[in-house]
Amino acid sequence: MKLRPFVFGAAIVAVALVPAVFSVSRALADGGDDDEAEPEAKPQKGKPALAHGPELSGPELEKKRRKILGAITTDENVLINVSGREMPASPDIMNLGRKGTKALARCVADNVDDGLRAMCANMLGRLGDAAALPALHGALEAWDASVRRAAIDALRAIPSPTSADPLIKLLGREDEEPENIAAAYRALGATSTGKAVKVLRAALRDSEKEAAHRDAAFDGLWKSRHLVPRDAMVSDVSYALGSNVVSLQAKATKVAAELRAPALVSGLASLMGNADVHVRNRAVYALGKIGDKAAASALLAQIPKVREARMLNNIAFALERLDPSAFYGTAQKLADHKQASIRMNTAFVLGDVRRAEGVPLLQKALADKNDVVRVSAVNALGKIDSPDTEKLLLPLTSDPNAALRHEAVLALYLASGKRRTDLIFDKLYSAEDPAQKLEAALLLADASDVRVTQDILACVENGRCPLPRVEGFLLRSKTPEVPGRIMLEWTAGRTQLTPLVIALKPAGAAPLATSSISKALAHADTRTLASATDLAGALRDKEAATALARVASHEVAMVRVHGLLAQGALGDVSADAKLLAEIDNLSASRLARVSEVLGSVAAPEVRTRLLPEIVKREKSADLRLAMACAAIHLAWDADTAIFRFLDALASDKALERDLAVAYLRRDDRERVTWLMRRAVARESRPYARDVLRTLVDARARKDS
Amino acid sequence: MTAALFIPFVPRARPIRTTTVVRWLSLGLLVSCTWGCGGPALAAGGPPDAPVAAGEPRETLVVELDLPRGATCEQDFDVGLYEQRAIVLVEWLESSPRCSARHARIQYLPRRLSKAALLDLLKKRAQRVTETPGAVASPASPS
Repeated sequence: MKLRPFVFGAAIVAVALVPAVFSVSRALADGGDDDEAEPEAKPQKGKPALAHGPELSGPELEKKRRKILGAITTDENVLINVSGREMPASPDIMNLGRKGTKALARCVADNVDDGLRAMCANMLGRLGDAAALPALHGALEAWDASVRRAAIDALRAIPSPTSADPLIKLLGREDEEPENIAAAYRALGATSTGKAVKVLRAALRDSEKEAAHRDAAFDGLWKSRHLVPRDAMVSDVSYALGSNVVSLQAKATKVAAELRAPALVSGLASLMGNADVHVRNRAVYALGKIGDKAAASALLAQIPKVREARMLNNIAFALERLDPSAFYGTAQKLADHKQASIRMNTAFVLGDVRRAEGVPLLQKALADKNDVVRVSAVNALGKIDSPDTEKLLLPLTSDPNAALRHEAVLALYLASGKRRTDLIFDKLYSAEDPAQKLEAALLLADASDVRVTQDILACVENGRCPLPRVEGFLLRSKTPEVPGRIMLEWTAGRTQLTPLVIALKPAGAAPLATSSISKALAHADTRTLASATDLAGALRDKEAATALARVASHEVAMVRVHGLLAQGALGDVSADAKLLAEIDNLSASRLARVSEVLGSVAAPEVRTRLLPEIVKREKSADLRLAMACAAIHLAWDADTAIFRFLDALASDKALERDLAVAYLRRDDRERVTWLMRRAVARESRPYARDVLRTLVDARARKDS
Repeated sequence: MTAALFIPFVPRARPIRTTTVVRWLSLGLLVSCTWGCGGPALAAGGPPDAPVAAGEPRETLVVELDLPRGATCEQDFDVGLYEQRAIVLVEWLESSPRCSARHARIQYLPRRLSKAALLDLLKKRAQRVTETPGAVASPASPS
């Protein structure tokens, strides 16, 4: 049978991939999958039978699992002899937090079931407790490739300089699985050690190695860049650009836009004609960011060869930055191009660069024979802050072409600085098309127009409005029925409305919150329980104290966090210490969520009480805890907390930098943007400046 | 990195000469400073952004501005202005992609930058600057 080797090979690959499927990237803060049930590990075929006694089933088996679970925090040997059937579910183990580290470490070291060892290693990675490192280092020597892979991934999630040697040793084995080698290079990059840099650089430059391994070495090296002199890093990126390995070139073009080193210009320019669409587009984007005028002629020479809109737009943006006069000369030619799609894209670019020099070209495009070009020109004019805009667009608001008419109204509204709500109301809101009417209602809501209150309420109730878009309008609204109708929606299970209900404080909300807690407890509905608890705490309803006491001693750690926080808001100072102890014990994968929950606390006295302990933890050696606490501080007082993030961005530890980036990305408030702009202007540490610039640019793109 | 790491072992039998110790200490200090004084490599641009002492007085100026046009006019204006370290914060009073008729509340440190000097700076970076009535001085608040 010819199929047999294939089926056998596929089975091996499938077994090898099991731990990889369970693995979740821990590099960034947005982890958190404790609630996802994992399939129970099964003993692997071909393994010796375990001395577990008779196989249990049904209630007996469940009882045994509960017993094992109960012993994990007190008996570090309890997972050594368990079978896959007896193993408690991983969310239950993760719920124990770091108190489970010792037992899981013994499981990795001493259980003979490779499936369970891999599962325990995976959980250790998610817990993030450095106490697990020795067991994980030991597991790199496991005979089973899936156990080694789970250990590698866990070591990447708990980066430590002590892991460099064991990982280098693993990489030195000739019989290691290719997937494990790639994973080990990435884990090595996270260790932030000079030794790692040496190994990674050698792997990157070894043309005998597989492309996937060189890719991983490049990733690891980039992760370690704060340990590498800038010139050396630029040289590595330059090498990757010229490597003729497409995957490496794609990575190198991406980081080149962050490094912005003029030495990379020639390497990038030579990739503008690359067959890979990502490589050539990223190369052009990076050239624009570097801003070296030497690239302008290469960009101009590329234009006649372009065959896709994205590339044309990227070249135009880069040129506009490097050589505006060359840009407008080229735009003139493109605006007259025989292909309508090129004329349309030219109009789009002229709008996006937002300079008045583009108005004459757009005025010409308004008379184009192709309607799509005209619509694009109208849209572009709306973006340009020019005194001619109104004169050019007003006649088009009565154009027979509906699409053009619609776009002209929107463009005029934008060009007026969102002041011409009359146009939106008269021309769009009165439309019969429900989608157009809703679009108009949302724009009018942005401008706090009370005439659309009923539309917005109905839209929230139908679940058709994006909440962040209308929250501001509803909070500003003086219409008496708004709080009550939002409360009604919340009681129907729309827990995402909780922050809005807290802010609106509808009459009668407190007893409803308390009743919701009781109902959620009865039905084991942890999502509603958390929301109702947040609401009861924010409303400071003393009547909720008894219900909150039950929440604060709930079996699920994250629920306890909500309960203790609410107790603290009600004035129970003793809850603070318990809350902090819970946070200290939580699995690392839960800390991002905790930082969101605590960050949303509005009560000033709760913040004042907790702040000294939060600030203390910002300096913790446990970087996931430290940065989660810094994120809480950022939410409470961005002006003060921003400096902890600047230090983190300049850290020589890759994890600290990655966490800082992730938390800064998550906090999209304007004030944080302003503080980051200030930091960019003053930042002199090169790599920190690079990443800040990239973050600030990304926020500008989001806002435009 | 400390200078102490570079002091060589000195045999007990040999009398220690003060000049030798001073020489080695100087060498150690020189080497350690070459490698790492002042933390990670700093460019010539000065120290990174740092908090202002809570007690230092702050004042606020509210202005209407026409910014040089461009896709990122607000960001470009901010980044340029913040090079002057006496600027504490530029708060934009409306969220808009427009570059003209923009309103901002600028918090600054009057001991380091006078209001007149700030206005001069704004005029260099904006096409039009109008101080709007209602400019308020705020008490010192944590930055």
